[in-house]
Amino acid sequence: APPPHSCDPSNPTTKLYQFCRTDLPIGKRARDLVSRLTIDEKISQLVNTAPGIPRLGVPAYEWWSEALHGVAYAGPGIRFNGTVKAATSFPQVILTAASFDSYEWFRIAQVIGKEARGVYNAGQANGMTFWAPNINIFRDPRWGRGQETPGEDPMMTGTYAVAYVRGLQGDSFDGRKTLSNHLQASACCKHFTAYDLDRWKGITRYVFNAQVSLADLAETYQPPFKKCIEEGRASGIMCAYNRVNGIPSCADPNLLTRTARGQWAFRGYITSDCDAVSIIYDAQGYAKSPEDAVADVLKAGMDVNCGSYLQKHTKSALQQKKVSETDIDRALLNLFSVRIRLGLFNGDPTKLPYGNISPNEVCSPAHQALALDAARNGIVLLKNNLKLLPFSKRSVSSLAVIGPNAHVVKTLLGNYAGPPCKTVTPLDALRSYVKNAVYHQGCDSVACSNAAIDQAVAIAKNADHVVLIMGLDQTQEKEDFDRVDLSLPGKQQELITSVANAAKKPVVLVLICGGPVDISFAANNNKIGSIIWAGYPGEAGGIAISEIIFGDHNPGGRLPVTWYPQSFVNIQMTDMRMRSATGYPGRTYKFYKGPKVYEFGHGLSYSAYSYRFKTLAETNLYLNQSKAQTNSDSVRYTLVSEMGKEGCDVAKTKVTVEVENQGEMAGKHPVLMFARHERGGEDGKRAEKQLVGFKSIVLSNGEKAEMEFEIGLCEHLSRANEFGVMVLEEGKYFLTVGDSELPLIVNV
Amino acid sequence: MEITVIASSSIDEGIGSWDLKTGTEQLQFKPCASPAHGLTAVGEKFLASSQLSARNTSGSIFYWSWTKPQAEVKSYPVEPIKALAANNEGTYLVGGGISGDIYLWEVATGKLLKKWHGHYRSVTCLVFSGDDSLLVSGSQDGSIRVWSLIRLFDDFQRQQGNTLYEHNFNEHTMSVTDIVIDYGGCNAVIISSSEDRTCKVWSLSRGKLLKNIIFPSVINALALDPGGCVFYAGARDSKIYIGAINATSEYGTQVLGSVSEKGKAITCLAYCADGNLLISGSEDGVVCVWDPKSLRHVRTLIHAKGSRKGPVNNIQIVRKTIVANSNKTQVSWKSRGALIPPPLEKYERPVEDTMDGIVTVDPPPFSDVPVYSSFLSADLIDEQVKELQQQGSAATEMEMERLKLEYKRSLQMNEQWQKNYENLLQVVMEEEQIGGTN
Repeated sequence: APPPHSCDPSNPTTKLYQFCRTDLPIGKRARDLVSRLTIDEKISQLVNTAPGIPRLGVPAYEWWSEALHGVAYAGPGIRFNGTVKAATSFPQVILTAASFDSYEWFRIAQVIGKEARGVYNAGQANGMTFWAPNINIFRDPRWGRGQETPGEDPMMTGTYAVAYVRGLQGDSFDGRKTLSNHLQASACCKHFTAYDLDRWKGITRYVFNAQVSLADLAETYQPPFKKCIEEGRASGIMCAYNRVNGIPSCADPNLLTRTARGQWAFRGYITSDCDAVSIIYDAQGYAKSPEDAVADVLKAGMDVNCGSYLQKHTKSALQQKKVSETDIDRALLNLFSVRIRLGLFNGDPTKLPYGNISPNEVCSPAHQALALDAARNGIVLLKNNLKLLPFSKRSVSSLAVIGPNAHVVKTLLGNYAGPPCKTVTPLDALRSYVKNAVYHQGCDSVACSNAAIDQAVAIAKNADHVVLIMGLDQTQEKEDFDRVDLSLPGKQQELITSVANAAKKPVVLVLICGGPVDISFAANNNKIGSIIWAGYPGEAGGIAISEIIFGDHNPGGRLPVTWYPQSFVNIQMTDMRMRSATGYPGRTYKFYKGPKVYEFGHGLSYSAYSYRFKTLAETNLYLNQSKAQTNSDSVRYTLVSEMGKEGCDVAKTKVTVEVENQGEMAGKHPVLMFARHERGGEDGKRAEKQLVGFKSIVLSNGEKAEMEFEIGLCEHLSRANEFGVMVLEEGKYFLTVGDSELPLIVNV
Repeated sequence: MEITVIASSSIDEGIGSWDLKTGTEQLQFKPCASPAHGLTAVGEKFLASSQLSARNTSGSIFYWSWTKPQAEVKSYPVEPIKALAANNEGTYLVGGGISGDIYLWEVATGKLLKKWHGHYRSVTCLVFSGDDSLLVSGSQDGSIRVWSLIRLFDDFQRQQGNTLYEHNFNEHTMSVTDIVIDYGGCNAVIISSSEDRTCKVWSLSRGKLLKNIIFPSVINALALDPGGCVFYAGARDSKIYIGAINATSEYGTQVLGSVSEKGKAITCLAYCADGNLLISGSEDGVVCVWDPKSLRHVRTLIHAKGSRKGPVNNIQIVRKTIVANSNKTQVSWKSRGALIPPPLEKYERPVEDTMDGIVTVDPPPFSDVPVYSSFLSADLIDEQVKELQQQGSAATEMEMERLKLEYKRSLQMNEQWQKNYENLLQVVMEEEQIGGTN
């Protein structure tokens, strides 16, 4: 039987309905449908589990499905108890981001979107709207959901959003397809906005009032959503639980209507996070009555409520004249437009675009090969003393594998996962290289309240080499749960140190975790020769880890987030400031001035790469702005808005970097380019440096290549002033790639 | 007819060459460190290879004549070229860059006829169709695109915003490693392999995926049996798999053989229709000759100076016509001036020049291909004109007008070619007389 859909040609009434006519514009079809609904029917459609309207042939629709890094269990829209029993489980986003390869991000999303259609075509999906990606900034290392995001850099996060949305929705990588009428699946960027605290020392995301400066809002928190909407053309966004400067996100007309729909021209639906509407009244007290809460969110521009609050209270709000039918109709127009764009009102889906995607494509070998490639390319080599790695396959006579994450499949997946196609633990994979590898769990669990250190030490003493697989899991960091410490939990550190001291040779430490951990003790211990960070590497992660350890893959991942020492926990997680100030070290690589365990962008390889700018001379750029002003620092600047689109299009320059692989192994290498102002890093003002571009390249041993980066002054070199207005400042900037620098002088 | 096997490596060990029938080693051409799919014979005239960027140089393409071991011509395109291919007659050379751009050069003049952005990522394979009318490119981004060499020069289409490619095959999720095309004319099929462990069979006329075959290992190389029913797939696990285009199973598990039990990955394959032999190259530098009928390993081609250390990443089969009197041949070539054409240009010339210029076709001397084989292109154009006449859209009419113009130019080219051939014949006859006198 075909999956649920409307407007079946065999139904004679189909011809009577304008909303079934594929030759009409989407908006007209949606208006026709809404005009046929009774008020009770309208209200019933304002929640994520929208009932069917049988008299019009409209089936029930479920808005809540998840596909953050693969089609997932979470959300009632998808079930795995039919033909399709699993879906390709890609690495958790924080690890995929570490590849710094936007094309691979696009490919992964494309496969996820295709598998989503495969699940739908198998009749196992009640909706094709997926509440992903999570593009909040990984502001604080303790955040339990940081693992779901692409990291701490706003430009990179925005680029991830664009790649993911285009891939999932069926667009091309460069966004040139005209997608408006046939989405493969619908992506939803969340959580709009400044959401990056879940539950920390009793403070919860439901009531947290994020005090965000105008500068940080404009420069850090909003850019990923702007890119997601303008460039990615997402068909959904989700407003966050938290308040921003006192106003709940879902009740903020400035945010939802004036900014997203107005300035950014968002075309799609806005959903609340689950029960966010009731929280506005129940927990936050922002609204004085349930009807006020309903009115606030609908008038702000929200369209659908995850939960049942709108279903229960909209009628009374209507009766109390706090909302009008027009408000409801606006929401429904947005909702039905998206469903129509998904092809759900065009008759039998098996005869439509994407109808030929078979359930067999879910978990296909080609998709699993991509999952393995994503894990390989994301894994970061943090330390590799005296070239301990890669191990030679011939010379490792015995191997001890120790640690609570060595033989657990679930941990590899991360949160928001679906049932994986394959289950291979790191131990399984390492045993394909060393058949007699000895395993010991070491800790009773990842929390490691009890550690069998003596037994682990005994095993380590007898082994030629030791691999420790430690870190965190979903008991330590997850949705609705933030850490309070940055150290490894319980006695993990003790176990690692004891094993390292006892082992014959320096040990390899593999960390399975989403958020940063303070492993200064390991970084500085010569008996710990190599450290690998593997994020939550997905179903193929065990294989990827072992391939890297034994040299079948040359690691090239780079950290998408700063790794802070334990002393960072003295900073309040609730402090939303990015910029440093007296007594406050700042956050992320852009502003943080304290000590680091590892820096953003850190990542070693088995090859050494060198960089050289091919543009040799100092570059001078003249903007000839008649409206240039001077700020309190006596620095001349111009407003980005004054330059306008034409001015910004012209204010660009291209820079070429020569990259050489001086090692003996071919490798895939991300090249990161930063820019810093000569006065960068001043407290409360400019970033130390900021990422202006990144590209990934495959280089054979001895190979050299040139990479061209386009620097847009407005896009890459501007900053937000204290009023949240983007300005472009005069002065000398330095473009840096590795240790190479190129001066760039901007005259306004 | 002499059949030569040439092989190159990513390490600078030069291009090895052997007589396929005897296994005798011939000249080694240096210096050469080539990327995969970066080696080609240009007609029968000379060898060309793109070069991996070594220290202190940027991208380059080298030419070697068959008689000299040193590179005679060096070209320096604007970016490193990965894949390199020549059409069957050796009149055009096409290169794929690391940025995804594709470059089309005219061999005789070195002129860059066209450069276009073909893919998001590095171009990994380039293959001409049997009649040289289509170019198929594969990329690291997983896509395969089919380009009509006629439509590439259609500026009107580009102004209309239409895509330049005829087909876009997007089903591979990872890098495309090899592409082969069979000889079916307009019913030809393309077979592609990828790092996603699949080979896919595509219909060139319908632009559709016909078959998806899953292998136990990554497929690095393909070769097609001329019968058209079977292809050979060289894998990373050192095996050569036999794939059937019409197989009912979607799994490819039948194995021709392995170079050795502990062998290295197969990196390239080539099929020689004369003698029905399959040649494989592997990561350990071994070049093997196989008889696919008896599933037997026939011979290993060895470098005389010891075992080759670098991985073989290209193998080509080149047929060369044997001339009765080699001395006379050399004399005749000298009298014609340069043996190898000039370097390839970096940039396209202005459009006016390109449109006005008559492309001179240099005829292959002493080819066993019939003299009038070039009329195939004219026939093809004529067929396309007829097809277009049956359709009716305005854009189609524009296309038809352009094709008619192209047809006239093609006729002029053929006349020019005829004259060149006659002149050449005259020169050869004169040489004969001089030889006779001596």
